[in-house]
Amino acid sequence: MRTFTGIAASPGIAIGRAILLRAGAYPVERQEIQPGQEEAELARFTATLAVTREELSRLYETARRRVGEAEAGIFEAHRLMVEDPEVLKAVTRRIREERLAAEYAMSEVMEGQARALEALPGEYLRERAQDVRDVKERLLSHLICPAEEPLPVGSGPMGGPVGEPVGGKPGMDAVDFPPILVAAEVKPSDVLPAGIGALGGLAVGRGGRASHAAILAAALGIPAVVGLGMFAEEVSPGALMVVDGMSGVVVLDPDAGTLASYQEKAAAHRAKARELATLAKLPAVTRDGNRITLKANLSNPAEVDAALAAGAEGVGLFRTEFLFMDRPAPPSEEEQFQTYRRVAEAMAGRMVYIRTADIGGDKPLPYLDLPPEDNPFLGLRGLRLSLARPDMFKAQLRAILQAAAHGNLAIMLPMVTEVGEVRAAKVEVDAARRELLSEGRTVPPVPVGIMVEVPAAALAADQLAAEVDFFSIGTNDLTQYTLAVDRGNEAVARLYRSDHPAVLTLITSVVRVGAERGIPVSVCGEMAGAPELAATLVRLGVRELSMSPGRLNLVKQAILTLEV
Amino acid sequence: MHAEKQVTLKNKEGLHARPAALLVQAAGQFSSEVQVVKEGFPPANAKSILAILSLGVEQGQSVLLRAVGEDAEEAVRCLSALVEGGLGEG
Repeated sequence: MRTFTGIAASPGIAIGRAILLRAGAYPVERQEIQPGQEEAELARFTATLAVTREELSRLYETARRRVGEAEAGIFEAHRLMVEDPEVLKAVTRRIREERLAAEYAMSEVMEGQARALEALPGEYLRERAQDVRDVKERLLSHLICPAEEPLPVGSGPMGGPVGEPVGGKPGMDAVDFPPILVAAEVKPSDVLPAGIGALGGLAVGRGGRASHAAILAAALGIPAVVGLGMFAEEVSPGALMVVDGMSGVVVLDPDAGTLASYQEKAAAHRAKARELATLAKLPAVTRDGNRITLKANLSNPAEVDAALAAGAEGVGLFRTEFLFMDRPAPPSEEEQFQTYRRVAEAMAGRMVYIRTADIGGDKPLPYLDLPPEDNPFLGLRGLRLSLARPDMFKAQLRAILQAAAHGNLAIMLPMVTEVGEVRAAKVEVDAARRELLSEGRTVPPVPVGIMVEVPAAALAADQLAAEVDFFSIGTNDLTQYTLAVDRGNEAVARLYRSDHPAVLTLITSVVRVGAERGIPVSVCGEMAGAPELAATLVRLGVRELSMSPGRLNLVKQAILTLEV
Repeated sequence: MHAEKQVTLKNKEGLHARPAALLVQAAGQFSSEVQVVKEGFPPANAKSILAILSLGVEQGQSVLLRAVGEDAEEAVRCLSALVEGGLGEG
């Protein structure tokens, strides 16, 4: 038994057998069919075209909803290749006249097309040749492994030799142990098994929470762990494994005791998920009648579906950092606009707090070229950095203001310590608005609020209140800065307590100022997503909580039984 | 019925996948046979994404749109307007 730790990408527990996503192409040998079989072979091919077209349409729709038109476009292009009349004509001819098996006839035709594209000048067309080969592989996977048949477990083209079933009747194995897809990486163009809907789970070497694999898993609602490094190389096809999509742990060849405990956990998780799902549509009201608004913290537009399904009444924190990470240059205004617009539209009028870039020296970005700091958490970060880089800040503000026309957006400023910073930021917001208006664009009114995450902001809430439309308490940083504890430092982590009296005193004073000045106060730290701490916040007078979508109904459950 | 028109590609990146897809989808709306003819290449079926891509049409290059069939004129009118309008990338 071996345990691997990656990034939890889609919740749930899967216990099943490994199938490996092949990195290379299917070898296809020349194969002829019997005379008289031509029309049947042709029918088999056209049926495959139909199935593949359907699959690509579904992938396109899913990808478009979850990641956007630009990224989904590849599936549309692939579908057109499947529908290509010239391909159909050429394959038909080779089946009828040369009596070739569909696999070979199609492979030859597609390979010929790929080579024709490669022969043309330009990098771009060479990449399209790869698209043609991807389509070929997808068609082959359907020809070799038609969708009507159950997905082979660790067998055939996807996985190599079948592993010996461990325990249970062989016929029951697929039911008791569904296939778990193991891959080094999942790219949008990868050929996925025809029966991907039957997958129990996903374990992927590369990628983070926003990777294609993670999005796909979430879209399909199957447990997934990504970022497992070289894990895929350790797995043999058919190996029994556990994917724990909550903790990000994968267990290979679990022993009987571990297996039993995960089976119990999986059953409990399913029961709990069913129970919590019934709460999604209920309003969160305490037993004594206090209405609490529950919102979601999101890092990516791809998470909006999950938030709405869980009953989120808005987005209390939309992190924009992901747009700025892992790239050589900052995102353009247009790219940001498209992202914010997608969230605004998907939330359909519900309020979304867009937090401007919360970036600092702890995660240096190459294009910012910041000098190293001795103390990045006390350095140039959050709003301080935005004000120091007016061009980058302006692009982000312009993008938010324009996207606000497509829904209900607010601007939330991170790492504020004094009122002067807020005024300076609002000058930038006004400048961006005037610019847009002079360009003839419509800009709706957009509220501006701040994160209260530094003790100074909590203590000066009274002065800040004059300048802002809302407060959102970031309890993670507020706790760290108040208690002077880095919870990532194991030596002092036990001192980190969001319910330390000093932290609660600061929260109480912000809530009081909010009530006096008529400014909404929400909490968007992890505290809000922990049922007991959330109950404490409600007792202190907080009426808006924002948390990761997976926590929403856990917290709602606690609120429904709470008396303030 | 027969119709044809010479058009010039405006798209900066050439006739790459996205504009090509738009052209192919539009051509598919017509019952006529529609071809894209580029000098030095055999005529390409406008309803075939692979045929269109393998012409490798670049910005500023001129191609002939040619249609034969019942709705040939309409097809050429619609497709040439699309190409001249930048194929969705205007």
